[in-house]
Amino acid sequence: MAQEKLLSGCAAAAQGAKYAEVEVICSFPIRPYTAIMMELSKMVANGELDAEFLHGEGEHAQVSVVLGASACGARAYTGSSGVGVTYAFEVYSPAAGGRYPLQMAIADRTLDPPGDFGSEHTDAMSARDQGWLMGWAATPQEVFDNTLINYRIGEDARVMLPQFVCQDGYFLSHIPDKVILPEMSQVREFLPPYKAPHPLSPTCPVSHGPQIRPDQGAPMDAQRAATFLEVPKVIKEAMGDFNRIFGRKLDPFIEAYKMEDAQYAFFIQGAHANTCKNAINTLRKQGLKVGMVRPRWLRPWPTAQIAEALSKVKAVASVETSTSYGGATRGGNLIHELRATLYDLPKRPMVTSFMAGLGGDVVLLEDFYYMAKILQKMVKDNKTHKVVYWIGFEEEKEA
Amino acid sequence: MAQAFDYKKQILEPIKSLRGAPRDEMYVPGHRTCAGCGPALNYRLVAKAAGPNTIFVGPTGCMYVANSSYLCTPYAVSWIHSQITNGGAVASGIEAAYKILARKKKYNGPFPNVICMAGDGGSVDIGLQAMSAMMYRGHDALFICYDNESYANTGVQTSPTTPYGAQTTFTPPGKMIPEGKTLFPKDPPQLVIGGHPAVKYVATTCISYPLDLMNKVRKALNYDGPTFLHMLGPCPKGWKFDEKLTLDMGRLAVETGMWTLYEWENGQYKYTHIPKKYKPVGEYMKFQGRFTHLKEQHIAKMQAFVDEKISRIKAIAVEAPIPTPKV
Amino acid sequence: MKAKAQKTQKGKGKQVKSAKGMARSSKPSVRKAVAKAPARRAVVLDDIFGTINVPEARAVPFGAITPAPVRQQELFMTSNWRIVRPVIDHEKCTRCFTCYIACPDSCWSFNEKTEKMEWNWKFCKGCQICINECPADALKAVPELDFEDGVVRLEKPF
Repeated sequence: MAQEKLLSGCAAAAQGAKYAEVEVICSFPIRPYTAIMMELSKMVANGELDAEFLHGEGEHAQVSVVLGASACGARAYTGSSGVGVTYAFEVYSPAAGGRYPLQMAIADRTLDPPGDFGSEHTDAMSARDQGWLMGWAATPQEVFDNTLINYRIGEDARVMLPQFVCQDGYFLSHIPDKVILPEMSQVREFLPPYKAPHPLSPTCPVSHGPQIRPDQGAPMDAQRAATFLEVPKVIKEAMGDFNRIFGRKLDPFIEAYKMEDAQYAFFIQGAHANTCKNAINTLRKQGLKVGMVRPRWLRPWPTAQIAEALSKVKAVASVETSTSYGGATRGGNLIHELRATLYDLPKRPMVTSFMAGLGGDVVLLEDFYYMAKILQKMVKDNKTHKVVYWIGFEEEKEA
Repeated sequence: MAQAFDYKKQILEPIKSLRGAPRDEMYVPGHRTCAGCGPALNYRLVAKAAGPNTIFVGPTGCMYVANSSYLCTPYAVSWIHSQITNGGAVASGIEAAYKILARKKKYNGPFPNVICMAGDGGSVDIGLQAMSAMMYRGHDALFICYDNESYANTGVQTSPTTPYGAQTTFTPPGKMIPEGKTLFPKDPPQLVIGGHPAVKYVATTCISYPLDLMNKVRKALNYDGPTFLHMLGPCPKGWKFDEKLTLDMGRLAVETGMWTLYEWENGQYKYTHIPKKYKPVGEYMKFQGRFTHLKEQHIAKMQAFVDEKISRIKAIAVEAPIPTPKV
Repeated sequence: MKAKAQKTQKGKGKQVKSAKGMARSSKPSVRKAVAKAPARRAVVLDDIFGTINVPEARAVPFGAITPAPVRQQELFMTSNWRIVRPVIDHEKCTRCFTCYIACPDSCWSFNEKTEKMEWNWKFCKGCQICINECPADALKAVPELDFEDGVVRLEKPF
């Protein structure tokens, strides 16, 4: 029976895994994602979910265990946060290149040093080149939805890729909001069982991953890259089915908020987008034509859709909850791909970035008002004064 | 874990003779291992004993790189490459997958033999954590450490099982360090026996005793739970001996006490092939170029180490620190 | 379904939607501008990525997953490694199966029909373990070059 519940992001992820009928789960505790595993362990213990629940010896082991399980044709699930995500790094490329569609829930967390339990996107972002599907949710409902959607797309025969289903630590993982849990029959209609193309099996022997020569490495990479050209098609199909089956109207690639006549825009992923929308509502009342583009996917990066959505604005700012030390803008990560996306537009908007929410800091409505002021000043002066602003550390509070 | 579900575990019969061993090769000709490779022979015998209902996990090492160059393998059964760090973890995932697939009736065959063939580094050095966790979690799987006493594949660097005094490319002998390697090796079976209550069976093997080896493999696979085998794999390239002497090296290892053959189950040790009189370690070391730089005092140190190890064989079987449930 | 952004005109005056769904301003001067404005299209086409074409000859199997060999791995013949080969004296051979069990490359097998040990010329590396192990002294090492087919040249290297 479809039901409405108040669930935190962690609880929503666990429900997603349960509805997806995951078969092998590997746990290891690290804040703030741990609650996902605590919820799942309860479900397994009381018979709500029939799955193998393995206590991994660390995050590297978690991904390794679920890789082995996925190679045999079992739907596998794991998760982590912060330095746990970076500890498992060695196994990310083997999982993607081996084409094992396992899922890793990431409730993001600032990387050490030193310990900081607060949210930051850098942990998962640092793995974005490893060949996984990935994207950030903005609400617990989206966490639940993304769990199912990612399995559907990842396990598609044209894709066969692992997925990072990301959410902001604490802001999303620990704050409950309304989630509509569907009926199991709807889920089964949307998400068919996982069929590994060549599972490890005693009945049909195969070898997974023999050594290759360097000249075989290039086509291996090219074939992996070619898969990502197919993924958007699969995303569109899957989202079409999702919307139809669950009665929703989600855009497959981005959330465009009040972009129809926007002259200024925020480009932001994750839970702080909710604050952003509230700020936009206020700014709009003040007469400013501002909107928001929120990518639902980091990989594959929805290049055409983002470019289209931002093609008419005068200025756009990415809101960066991640760090890229020494990078081109000496700031965050989204800005690099955002600028690359917009570069070929006949009339390029001005682009800047705002470092906000780092370390798990709260992003205030006032911060967005400040950002809006900067954007307006940029356009008025027809000059990008800076490519990066550090919210909370700028000397000038007023633009 | 589901209770009382029949996973259809097969039981393998003991092999009574070489002629009676299964003729089918599950590790077939056509691999880039060195001529006379001890670990390759280990693999062949393990695969032969295990039979077709088997899935191998192959952490990076000689038995990965040399076996699978390029884009082809000698495994007639299913096999997956794992990182050198995570053989035990990937094997655990495979075992768990087959448990749930059986329960959900997605797989209806006999429960497969899940075997991780890891080198010494992949077992007790970089792979130690994953191996130990597999032993701890009680998976019905076999972890094999094929021991060629070095990180051989990368060009023979020292590992925790490299003997004292052995020359490797990280332990070259020199004026400052005359013996080359100054550290004594870890003892992989003891690591397992010492602290993993779920482990059912631990044994050591040597390719020079092939029937013994194959039967220990079958015994280990027959147990429902984690088992561990420590297999000596003499390495002509790494140890620098004439490749035709591979099986001689195995025999000499046992005859000098450098290697002891035993089983451990139900908390009890059982030693086999105990020489009536042990040969001096020099008889073993003299064939191997990795030891030729050693002086009298170094060989004496090695002898003392071996004597200490041998003396413990005569003692009453050591009771496992953590009680093991009787089979 | 993808939500299509409403097209709007930055102008003063009331926004009126035409039958085609395009917003039009009621002001005449602006209306002219609208009529002139090109139909909006995707400004960055998906085909900026092009296609990635890996020729068949260079393709790597999906996920680097290869079929398991049966009986022997023909893709890696090692016959050109050896400089000696074992030659068997069937009279001396006691069929003890020692050579069979001792070969890391499984090059000795017993032919049940002929009741003789058979040698696999395609894969023998000439390590001489079998010669060293044979308890009946039935095997001896003979230089490869002594044989007509000695030092087998393979089509592809290694």
